[in-house]
Amino acid sequence: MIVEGAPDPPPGDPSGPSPTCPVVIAGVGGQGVISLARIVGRAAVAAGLSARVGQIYGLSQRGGSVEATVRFGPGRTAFVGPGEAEVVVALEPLEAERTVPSMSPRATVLVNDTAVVPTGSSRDGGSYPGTESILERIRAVAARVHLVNGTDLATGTGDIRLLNTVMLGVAAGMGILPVPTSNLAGELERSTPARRSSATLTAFRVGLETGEGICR
Amino acid sequence: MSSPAAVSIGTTPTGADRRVLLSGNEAVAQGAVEAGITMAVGYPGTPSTEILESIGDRRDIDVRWSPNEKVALDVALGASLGGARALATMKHVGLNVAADTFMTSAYTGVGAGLVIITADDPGMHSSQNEQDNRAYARMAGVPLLEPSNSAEAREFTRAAFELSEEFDTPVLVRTTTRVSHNRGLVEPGPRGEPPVAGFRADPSKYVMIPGYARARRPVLLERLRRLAEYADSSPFTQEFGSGTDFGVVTSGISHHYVREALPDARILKLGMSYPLPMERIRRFADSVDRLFVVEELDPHLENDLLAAGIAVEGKAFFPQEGELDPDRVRRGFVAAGVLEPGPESEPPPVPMARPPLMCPGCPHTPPFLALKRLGAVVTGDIGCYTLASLEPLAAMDTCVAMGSSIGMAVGMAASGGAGAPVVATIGDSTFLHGGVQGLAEAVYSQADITVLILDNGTTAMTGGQEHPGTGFTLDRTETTPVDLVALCRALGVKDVNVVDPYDLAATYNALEAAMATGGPSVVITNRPCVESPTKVRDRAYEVIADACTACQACMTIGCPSIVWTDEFAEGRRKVRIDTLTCTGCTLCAQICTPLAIVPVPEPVETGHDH
Repeated sequence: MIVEGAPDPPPGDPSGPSPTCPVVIAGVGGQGVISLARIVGRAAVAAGLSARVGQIYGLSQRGGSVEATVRFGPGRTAFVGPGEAEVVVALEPLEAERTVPSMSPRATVLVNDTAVVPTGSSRDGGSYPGTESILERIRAVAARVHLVNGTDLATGTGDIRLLNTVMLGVAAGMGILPVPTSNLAGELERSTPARRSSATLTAFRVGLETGEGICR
Repeated sequence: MSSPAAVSIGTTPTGADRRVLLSGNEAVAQGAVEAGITMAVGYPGTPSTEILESIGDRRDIDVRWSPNEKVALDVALGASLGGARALATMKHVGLNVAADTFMTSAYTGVGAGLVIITADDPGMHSSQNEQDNRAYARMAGVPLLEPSNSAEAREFTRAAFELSEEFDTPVLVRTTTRVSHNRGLVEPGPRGEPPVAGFRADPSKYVMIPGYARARRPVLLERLRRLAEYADSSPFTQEFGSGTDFGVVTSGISHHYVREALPDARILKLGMSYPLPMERIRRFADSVDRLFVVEELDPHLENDLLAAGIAVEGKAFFPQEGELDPDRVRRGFVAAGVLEPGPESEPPPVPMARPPLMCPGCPHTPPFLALKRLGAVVTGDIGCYTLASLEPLAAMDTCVAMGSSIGMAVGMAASGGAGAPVVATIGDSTFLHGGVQGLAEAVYSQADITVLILDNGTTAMTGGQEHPGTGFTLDRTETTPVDLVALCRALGVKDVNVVDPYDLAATYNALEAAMATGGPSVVITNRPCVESPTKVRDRAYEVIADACTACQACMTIGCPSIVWTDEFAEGRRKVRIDTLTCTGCTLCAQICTPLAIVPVPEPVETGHDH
């Protein structure tokens, strides 16, 4: 009566992804974090993988911080504990910094380069950390971090709302997700209304090409 | 005597892998569909909302929003007595509202199966408290099921209907936010055939006057005794692992956390956690040297086991506040001496916070700017507008429960200690949920208060659900909307005014006049939510950089579209408007004294749906 699964196996080869490949997706409410996680999860299932998606929404959707997690293969929950995330896709630099405690030493971290400064948090707006200092903190923990001009790429496709799709494409192009690119594309197509499906796939392709150009 | 075979959990069809990735909410709905419900009813509330939304387009099920959870449970109970299987859904605090019906439904029992979903919110992700609704099962004397993931959410919900009919009782199914929102694999089964049996009049069972209710009380207690027996041998109670050093009794998602922290530990998992399978627990306890309970929030299981004379340890190691997770469970077992401590690292500094905000163009914003300027004591309520309590608006003084704003305003004004005019602020959905009676009180006592009804035509906080004032049902069928103005007048409020909240001066003047009126007055704002049911996007505004004096008055709005620049005037930072997200509400332009905020020259393609 329960979807049974063995506990996560202990980490093996420290350079490669583990079978569960814990993924953290982070961003600001409205950037499409939740739908991105859902697409990755469904694409994994379509590819015959087991997957669990963790997500919390509600108040956080009003422009607050949003985080979702995906775990593949054996295991019981979608929870990504301290030091466990092997892939982090951040749609905003400050939100990338927020996930530092969950990053594994072998994590690959993708950071969209466009800051969304919290409104009203400071009357002079001066306390938002510089992107370089955020990257520095991530580098101190994770194996690889890549700054991606995702917002520009999405804007270039004509719809800034496709930032999440672009970033998914980058991750897929780099081959850091255990989900085949064809399944990700298929799930994107399935979950997008027909009138927007071509723009979505274009954004995904733009991301893919960018990702393929990044050396893992 | 009931046979455990009466309930068919674990009979998932096998064969080709048909499994789909469902949230716990979707899985609850799937289980109810398979159980053959003909009625599903609730009031929106995170984390429960998507249960009804995920089956809202089904023509073979009557899926509906009620004005509040009490009415929802009344409707569901009525449907059950009519012989139709019925599902009622709500968040944890919603069961407080429905508690009156819930308590006595345990006496009446059911016609066809009746299942109530309570979606608890440990950690208070989107709630005003983290009450542990397992207490309600005990208080009412109703069986409680706790699914731990999406697969169980489907199976337990389906089985709950069978239990409900087998034992003639409502069944409470408790999820928590992680179970409701997380997605896991579920193998869906076919739609059950709705068994509408018809109403059979039985006043001694359904008319709970004292004489009849007294006779139902022993029936309830005998039912609980049989349910406890059933729990001892039922498939809801499961054992995992091996060893005799220690064992863990747990339920719900805590079970998975324990198994992630201690993969091989002896575990007794309680799918039904009220009434408890005490004989099974006792045998389990006798088989281990040391017994733990791992449960989120309150020590329900722990106290029950202690009361039964079973030595157990729990809250000494596992926190009573907030959510558990594998890491917290691991730390608890380290503290208990079961696990070796792992490497401890210095926690990194916490990055700057990103508090939630009202949306660009939100029609709730201007009235709070006005109220702040008017110096009112503002009793608030539950909805997006509760965010007005935060900086920079900081214009709300209280928020407690759905509809509380009005009664609290009456009491605050009557206390003589408010020190300023008292204004209750409440959304349209919340007003129809629990505010109407408060307004009746204000009229009855001729309270010197103003009630500001923020009518944005939707239940916005939970994602934009219909309610009795919107003119549409859950499946977008047109219906007769409640007329808020006529309702307030009918209750006896003489001073009722409708104002356009995008006109800041008019809003200020309407509130000022209402606050100066003796007795109860009502001001209603009339702009729709900018996100639901349709996205409101008008011509965007921009800042003429040379004209901006950096007075920063527009920054008091808290609009996410107004952002800082790197230009300064007299040492102060200037602003600009993000024209991609600006909805053109004009509020900032209305308060910009140097007239530096103007419409963009040409209508821009915002890229948003209309």
